Amino acid sequence: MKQSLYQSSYKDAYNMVFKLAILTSAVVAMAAQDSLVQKQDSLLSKLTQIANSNSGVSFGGIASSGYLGSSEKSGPLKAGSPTSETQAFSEMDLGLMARPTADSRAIFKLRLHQDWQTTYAQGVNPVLFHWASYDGLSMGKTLKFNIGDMRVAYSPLTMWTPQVELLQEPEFFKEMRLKSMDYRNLDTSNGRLMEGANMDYNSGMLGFIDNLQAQGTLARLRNSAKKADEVFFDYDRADEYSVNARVGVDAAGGHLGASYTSAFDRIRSTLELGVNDQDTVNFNDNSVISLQFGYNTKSLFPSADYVLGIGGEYAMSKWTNSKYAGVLTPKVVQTLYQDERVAADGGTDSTAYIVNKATISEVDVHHLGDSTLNGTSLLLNVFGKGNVGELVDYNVKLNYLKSDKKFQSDLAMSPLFVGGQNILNSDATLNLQSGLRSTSLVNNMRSGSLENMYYTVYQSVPLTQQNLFAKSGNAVGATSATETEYYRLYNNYQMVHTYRNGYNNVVLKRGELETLGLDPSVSMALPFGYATPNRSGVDLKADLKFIQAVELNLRYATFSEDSGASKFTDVGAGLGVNVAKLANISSTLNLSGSYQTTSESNGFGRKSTRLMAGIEVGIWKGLSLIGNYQALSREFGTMYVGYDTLPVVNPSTNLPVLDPTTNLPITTISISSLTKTSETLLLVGPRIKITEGSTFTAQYGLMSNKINYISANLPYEIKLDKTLITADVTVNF
Amino acid sequence: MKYISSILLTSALLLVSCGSMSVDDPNAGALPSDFKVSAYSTLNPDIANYQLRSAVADSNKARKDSLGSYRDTTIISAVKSRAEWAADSVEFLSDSSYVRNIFVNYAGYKGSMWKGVDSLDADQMRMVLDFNLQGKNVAQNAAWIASFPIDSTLIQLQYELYGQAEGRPYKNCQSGTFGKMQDPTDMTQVTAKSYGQKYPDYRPNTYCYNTADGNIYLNK
Repeated sequence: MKQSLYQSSYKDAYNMVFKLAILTSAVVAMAAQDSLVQKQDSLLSKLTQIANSNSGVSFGGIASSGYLGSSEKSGPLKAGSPTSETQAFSEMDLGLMARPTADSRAIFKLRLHQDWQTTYAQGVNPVLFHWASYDGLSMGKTLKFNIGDMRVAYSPLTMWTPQVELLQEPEFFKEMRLKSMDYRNLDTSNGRLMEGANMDYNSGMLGFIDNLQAQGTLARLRNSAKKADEVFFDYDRADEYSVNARVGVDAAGGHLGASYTSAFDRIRSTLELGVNDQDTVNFNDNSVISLQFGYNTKSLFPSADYVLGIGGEYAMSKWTNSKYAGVLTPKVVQTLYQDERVAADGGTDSTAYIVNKATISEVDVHHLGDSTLNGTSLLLNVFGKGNVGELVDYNVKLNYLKSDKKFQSDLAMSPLFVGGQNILNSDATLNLQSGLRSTSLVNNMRSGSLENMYYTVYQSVPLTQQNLFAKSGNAVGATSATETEYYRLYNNYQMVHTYRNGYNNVVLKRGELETLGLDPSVSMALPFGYATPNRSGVDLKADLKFIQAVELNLRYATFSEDSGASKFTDVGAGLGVNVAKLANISSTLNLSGSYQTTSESNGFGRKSTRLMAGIEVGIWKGLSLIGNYQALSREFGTMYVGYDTLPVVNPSTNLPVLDPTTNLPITTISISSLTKTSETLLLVGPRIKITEGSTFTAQYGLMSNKINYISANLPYEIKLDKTLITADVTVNF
Repeated sequence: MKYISSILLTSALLLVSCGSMSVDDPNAGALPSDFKVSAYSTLNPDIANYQLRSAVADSNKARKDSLGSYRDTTIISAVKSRAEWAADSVEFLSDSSYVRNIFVNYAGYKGSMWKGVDSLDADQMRMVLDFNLQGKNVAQNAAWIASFPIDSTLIQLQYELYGQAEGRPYKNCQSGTFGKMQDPTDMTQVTAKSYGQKYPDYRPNTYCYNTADGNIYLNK
């Protein structure tokens, strides 16, 4: 009796916990259409029925301890440069959930992270509080609501997070990518991460109408710094908000909808913080109105084993940039002077005068003017999905996109993978050809695309002058011990959490998107998803599954810029085989592989090729062996070419060579460029299921990053090899 | 120019002065009903002239700042600057009739005190040179002074805030409307607090100027 009680409560607890573990995605399911999320949502709803049928409080999460050792095996390292980096840590993602009713829940997520290296360094390690939301259903389950942190999607041209699509991405890679994204509260859904309130009303059946939808979303996207201590970090002081709404109606297999989204800076609240002399501030106001339609044959042929459909969206965007500048303006101030005057007797005495003095200059904010861009975008699609008996499942979709150069939709465009960060071994100093531009170019690429995609460095380290910026107006690095604002540094008992990876969760503005310098290996054709401006073309996606054991993914896309500036072609194919199922054996044996290439003709002439392969073998009981391999090459074409005019130097005298007629130095053109990177990453290791909900994983990794660059007209090549050893124990609780 | 003290008046203070006045000083700012700023300015020309002096000082300071290393006697440009400065003053002082005009009409001396440029004492010289705009010749100087816009609101403000306390006359005396002659030792004319002080406070009394004897009398 006692035993069975224990078992049932354990099961309940585990169910709750598992739900929390996938909570991140679950919240989104309300708004997003991603298939993975749908799967998670259906799983969630089953679990919810069991564990969540009554109100209460529960907690759960993931605890892990791990080790990541990264050492530079080769590469042009400067003498004495550190070559290895160790991260050993214990981390807990803790979710607290309170359910006042069966239909709603408040969620708080906390992160605790302890670096083993700094355990004894200094005192108190803070707990990060990174998610708070209250989500649920109301009004007879017709109104879904999210308050606080949320992820909401409307449509690909209005509110959306474009995802990175990697075909048949093997298991280790996928886990590491999701973990990196999770540090920034990102997931694989198309929901846009925001903080605010979202209300979504769905009527359900109303006569001949299948559903009537009305949704409203309010969010704050950025906030200007209000405390002097934070000023340094807020490069953009904008106070940015978003107001959004959509309505839709579904009937007889058809859908009609209209959306309005906006992202705008509040001008006055930002200007209240003051603008420096000579400083120019740009405020953006972006709004998009979109009409959507869709039709599928499901209601026409409800028993057919196929569904055909068409859909489309036409969006009109308006983007206004308002420019303000701080101008130093003299101010006249009425000023009192006690001064001498000539007295009646011809001597002097003292009296009081008031005069106007233009002695003080203040910074006045001037509105320099507005510029507006109006753009449109049209996205149409045709799809068919279904199955041919047990033999084949298919899902084929063809998209047509035509967007003009001026189209702007902030909430739909901002990409989540940006890259270009130095992730591992960032304290190693490279000994590069000191050629003008190329040094910084190569340094920007030393952590390759794969490292950016899959690795995060997360550290909790003592708070120091280098990671704390004190009072504004005091330069960091001022070392006087008597400066009171630095006093706290001599008596601090705090650790800070710092992390870096290649992901972005901020809604970026047009100016930021234009200067982003995105990694061309990730969706060069549509870097900002279907909301990418200046594109016309089609893409075709076909996913096939044979006898539930063999998956085949085919991708083709061709998009060109207006007036033929650049033309992009994406080709991809992926194959996943569940060998165990094919061979009808009870163990696990999965093979997967894919090849994706994207190229640009005209324009910069860039090209990227990605090859992936994975194997998972079940060895014995809970032990499986996993091997993942990926090779990525990026050719940058003329993207990073820089020219410098240099004087020709006589090698024997070391003096500039002069032109005999003009007597001026003879010059030559020096080209610097980053031409190509070739990366490989191999991860091999066992995974052991210790108990239900806890696993041990070890990985041995080899990463290679070969960079070809040109400095002063001469080609160079460097090769950075890293050995990566990872081991971790993860417990879901 | 020697400033004994200078205080910035904030707009808030100005509001107070124009409005209900500060709590501890119930009389300040209450203008006499027959106050006319033109008459006050005529009787107290130093107030308007001080606006000129102040503007000249600003202009001269800006010029001195622009000369950069003015004080550095080891640099030829500085020496030249100093020479230029002195030459400008000499040019100003060489026009005797103009200096007399400044001496009497702007610096505020009586015509009878004029004994010629060479007889100016140090104080008089300083007062006169306070009206010399550096970098301008005498004709330009005269034109600049003639076209200088006097701000009459500042003159009225001066009376409200200080002029009345200082016992400055604001009108000519009319027979039968004035009483005792202004006297800082008369306890009925100055406030008890300021009695015997360097700057006696005549408020709430107001005064007129008697053209007949050139003295200041208490308004009845």
